[in-house]
Amino acid sequence: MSNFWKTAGQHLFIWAVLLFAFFPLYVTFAISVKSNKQFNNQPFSPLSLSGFVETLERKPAAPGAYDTKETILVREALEAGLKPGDAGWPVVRLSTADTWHWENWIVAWDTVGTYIFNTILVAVTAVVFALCFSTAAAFFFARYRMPGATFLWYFFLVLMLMPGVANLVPLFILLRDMNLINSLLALVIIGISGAQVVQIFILRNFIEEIPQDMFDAADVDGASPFRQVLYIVLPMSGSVISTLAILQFISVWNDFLLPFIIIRDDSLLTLAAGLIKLDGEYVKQWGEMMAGYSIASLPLVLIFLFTMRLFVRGISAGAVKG
Amino acid sequence: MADKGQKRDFGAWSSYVAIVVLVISFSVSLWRVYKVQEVEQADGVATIRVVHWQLEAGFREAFDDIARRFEKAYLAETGERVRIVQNAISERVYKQYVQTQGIGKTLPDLVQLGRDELGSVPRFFISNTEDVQKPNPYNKGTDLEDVPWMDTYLDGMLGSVDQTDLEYYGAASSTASTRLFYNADLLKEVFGDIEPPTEYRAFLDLCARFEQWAEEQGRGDLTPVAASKYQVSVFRAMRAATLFELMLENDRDFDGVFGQNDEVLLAYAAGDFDFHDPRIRADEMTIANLTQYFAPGFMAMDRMEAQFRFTQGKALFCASGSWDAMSFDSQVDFPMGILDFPFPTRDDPEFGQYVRGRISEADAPAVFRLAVSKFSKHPDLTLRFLQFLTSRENNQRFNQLSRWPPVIKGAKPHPLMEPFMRKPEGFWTAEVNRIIGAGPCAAAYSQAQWELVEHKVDFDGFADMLERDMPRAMAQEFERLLNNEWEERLAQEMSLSHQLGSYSFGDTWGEAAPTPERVQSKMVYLWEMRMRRYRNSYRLLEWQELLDAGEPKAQEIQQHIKIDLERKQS
Amino acid sequence: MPKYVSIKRLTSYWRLYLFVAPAAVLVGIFAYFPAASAIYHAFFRWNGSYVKEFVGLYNFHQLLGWSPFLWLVMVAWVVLLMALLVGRPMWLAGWAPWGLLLMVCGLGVALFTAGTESTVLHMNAGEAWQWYGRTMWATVLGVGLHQIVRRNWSQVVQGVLVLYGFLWFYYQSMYATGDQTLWSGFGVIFILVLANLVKMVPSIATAVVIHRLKSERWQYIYRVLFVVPMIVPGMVGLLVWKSFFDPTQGILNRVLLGSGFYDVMVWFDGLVGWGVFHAGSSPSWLGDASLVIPSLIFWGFPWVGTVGVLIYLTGLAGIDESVYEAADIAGATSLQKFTYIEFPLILTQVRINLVLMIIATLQTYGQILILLGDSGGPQGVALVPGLYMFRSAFVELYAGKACAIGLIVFFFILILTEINNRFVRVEK
Repeated sequence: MSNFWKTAGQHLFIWAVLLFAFFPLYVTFAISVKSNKQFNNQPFSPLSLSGFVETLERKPAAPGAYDTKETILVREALEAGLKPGDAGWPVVRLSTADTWHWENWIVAWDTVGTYIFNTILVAVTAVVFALCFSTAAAFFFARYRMPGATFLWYFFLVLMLMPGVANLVPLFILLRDMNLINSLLALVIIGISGAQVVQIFILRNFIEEIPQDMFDAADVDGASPFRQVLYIVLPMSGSVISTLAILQFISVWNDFLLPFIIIRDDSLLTLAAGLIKLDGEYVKQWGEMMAGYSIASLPLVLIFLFTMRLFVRGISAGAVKG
Repeated sequence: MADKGQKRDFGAWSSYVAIVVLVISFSVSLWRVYKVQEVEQADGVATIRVVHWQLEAGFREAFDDIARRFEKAYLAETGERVRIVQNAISERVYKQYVQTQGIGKTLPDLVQLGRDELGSVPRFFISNTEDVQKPNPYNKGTDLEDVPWMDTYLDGMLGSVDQTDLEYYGAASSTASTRLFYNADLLKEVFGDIEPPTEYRAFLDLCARFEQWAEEQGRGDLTPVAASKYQVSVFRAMRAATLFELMLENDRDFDGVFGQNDEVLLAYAAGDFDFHDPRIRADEMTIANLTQYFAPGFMAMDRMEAQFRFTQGKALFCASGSWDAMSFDSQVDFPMGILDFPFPTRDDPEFGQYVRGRISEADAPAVFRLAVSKFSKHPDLTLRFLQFLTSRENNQRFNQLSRWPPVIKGAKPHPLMEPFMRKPEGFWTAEVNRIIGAGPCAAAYSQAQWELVEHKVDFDGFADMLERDMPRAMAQEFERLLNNEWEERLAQEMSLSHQLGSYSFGDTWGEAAPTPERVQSKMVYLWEMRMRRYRNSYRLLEWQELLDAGEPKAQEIQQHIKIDLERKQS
Repeated sequence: MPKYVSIKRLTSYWRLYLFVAPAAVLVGIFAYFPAASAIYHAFFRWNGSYVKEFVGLYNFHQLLGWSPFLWLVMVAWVVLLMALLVGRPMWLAGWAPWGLLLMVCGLGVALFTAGTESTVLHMNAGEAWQWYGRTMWATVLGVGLHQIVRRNWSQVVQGVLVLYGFLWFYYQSMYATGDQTLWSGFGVIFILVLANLVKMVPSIATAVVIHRLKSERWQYIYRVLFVVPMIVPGMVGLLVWKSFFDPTQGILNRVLLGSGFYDVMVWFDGLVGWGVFHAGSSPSWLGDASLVIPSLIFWGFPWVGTVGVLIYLTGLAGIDESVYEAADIAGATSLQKFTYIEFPLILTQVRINLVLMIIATLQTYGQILILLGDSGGPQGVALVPGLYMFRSAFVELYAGKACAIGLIVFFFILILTEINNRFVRVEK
């Protein structure tokens, strides 16, 4: 009996923690369908389901209606000398305390959509190229001892000590001199070069563990090193590579400092840097802001649904390497 | 690798789905980005990018309207297409954005100025001094047709002059002023049909009565004035010009400005004024009398919080600038009134004898000042757009849409904005904390002021605090002044030699070379500045005199300088 | 077994270099070059473009101050650290100190020239020589220390030096003659590190509780669930939390005011006399200078880092079921189980996390930049060194000074990494 209570207590504790962890997500979604007035009146409670599907019915604006915007429209119309029933009298959608304002999502998509496409482009390109380069380099270090290889190895290793914080200014100047300011290409390149060291480090260990026999056999068959990478290394280390891919994808997805500094145009901003703009509004439209955040969270969740296993393993493993 | 077998099949399957999803989304992204960039970089269409920090309600829509009109007008005029793209950046990161893009040489074509650019204006922007002396082509057909562009401005375009090299950079589209907002519904509910107060004492009285009423009704959530630290600074515009005489008395170099250099220091050290001065008292008490009607703890409040209280109908009054009017208007569902500040008058019982009159708004800032960047690919076109924006017709339209006070002569404001139009009559004054410098003195001053407006000390306590802290702060300020002297002189000298260079080698300078007359007048000015700096150095002699004469304040300050120096030596 | 390729056989194997070339080139250009450039420009008055003037150690003097004591410690630290770092490959160990000595001689000459040639250093020749002498002494001290270290007294010496370093830091923050902003920034970092230390506890607790669940299935489900908050973009988390702190409409204030807990806080405030909380107004968490740091600490309540939980779970996975059974038979309480079975196993992870956390905290500034702007919030209370560097470079256009700040931060990180490598990783 006591065992049951003990287990129940443990579960309860975990659920409590999870509740807190998920609370921001819930709040984001709950507010994303509210108008400002709804948000002011009941900030975190969800709207009742009765208004889930928006009514498309339109009616003339009436004074004293639920929506502040509507009241203001009426006031302005009255000031302009109109009377209810006149031709120019504003028409609004029926809005009650329970209406789910899905149009927030549409408004938010207009801003966030571009950011998402830019980010996917940058992240996918960076991940693909980074892994190509790092797999090749790791193969070089793992299977051969070329003259100068030790030097090169330390060349990469020392970088693990260097924090990014000191390099930011010269990096910016460098990118400027290469005419890469305000371009997605810069983000891709930095994404690739930034991931090299860690990836080579991990992949080298992994490739070294692949049995030598396979490479010997390949050598006898006359397979070039390139073919060896393609037909031995890639299939054997698929899980590590996909784990690394996911880790890098997340890190590119989250990176905001570099785009924040080097991207000038709104149409080229990536997600993390672009979201900052949503927050800067003077009179906050809470619903639209939160809808933007919700949309921004969706792509990764989608990918996660399909690669859950890789994610869990990847994050655990990626964390251990420290 | 324990999870092989059954799970693995599902894993492989779902991984493939993931890859397919990724490939599809990647292709879509590629296509989208390509499409967007195609529009962005279309041939034959010049793109003008504008960056500003005005995220206020309705502003971007108004700007878009003018931009579309310009695109049409330009197409009709020349048959060429142009595209104007605005990018609004949050005020918090705006300065960093401009500086970064400036170093990156990717500054957008038109950039809003006004967030202390620290002398980088001549470096990043094209001067339009020549153009402001010619009429604005878009004023054709009006009485402003032959008037130079600069003279179509209410302020004569003074707001566009950059102090580093005295050239005009950019043009503003609006002005700004601060006023008192009130909740007409609430006023009516409490006091019936009365006119809102126009005089200082009546205003205080009204606040007191309102507070009493709220207490009687048990409406503890109501306060007479919605305010925060920010509103305290806005309310400083409500003071009368009580410091006028004080400044005239102590203006040692007769340049009409008292402060920002060691003349304040010398005046204080010589005992020519102290902080118990009744004029400073009048100046400070104007606000301190009012702050008792603010919500408790207002100094810890956020600007937005105070405004939220007002728009939610929890306060009778709120003070803010013209830039907030539209936001207020779009958030309140009660009729909102706007008033000029109720200034203290000469018959004020407490400090009427020091009141000269109201403070003039002749120096009200011209805002939304846009300048053409040096990295623009179409500087002429960009300037043209700027002229379009500031022609009388379009300026009126733009400011009526955005609900800002227009800056061009004869442009009519939106009815909401009428109370905000500048009132140039009156006297000038200055902030006491402003005149004693920006560093440690200002910090000591605002600390004391904080205690005063929160009524933790009375005025005498406030003055005592200042008398106690000021000598030390002034000693630090003194050192800072001496250091800055060197930096500033360097900047001025550089500017002077730059002008000289462009004068002597005008040919190599290309079209940017200024005319000889302009260079001459500027060199006179810069020389003047230089001489003033040397005069400042001469004033060190006066300092020695004060010390020799044994002025108590001077010796106190000297003591602090000594302590500082000794600490540095150790 | 890797295949050895001698120089003679390079003619047939040279193509292999192409495998490493792209990575090496990219890293060389986009990582090494900026780093080298940062070190180079730290000795310049530089605005990122046309203003570029050699000023010697001026930036460092401005930032770190003038006290000779302090510089002595500084130089000794640098020398020792270099010796430690370089001391790893044996063939270099003997050379390193002498090379350093040579470098310092060069430095002395540079200092002397700068002192006589340039007024920017605020030095005359005599002073420059004085400094040169001090530097020499410090170097001799450093070389001596290096010799001690080589003879494996390292632990003691390093302990003493770390203590010395903290004393130095304390001295600097109390009586700093250098840049007050920088030192108060390090002070903020110090507070944040302490806070983050406490914030590690909930993750450990959660991981242990999950691990103790008997059911494999539930363990997996929870692991999956804990990944979900992690894949939400960090920026979204940041901005949502920021909206929680909003003074008027934020959830935090609504909960505090709605539950009446705020009255308790006001009462307590009245008792202690902070003057921060007032009845009738709601606190502006990110707008009030005295509340900014507490807000940053409260950030992310209840501080269960999902990554952290997963890491600890991996560490815990090594415990065999039989160990628990044995413990049960011995009648161990759950606290005893934790201290004797679980904690030792995750100790490695805890240590690694600790060091990584400190390094990350030292570098942190993106979050503060987004929350409070580049001025570091009201009165600049949260102007951490990283943000100060960012601000110097991109707002005030003192790129040279920014590089110098970056190097100082880098220096601290290097020390921590070294400590990490020496004491933490070994005991895996």
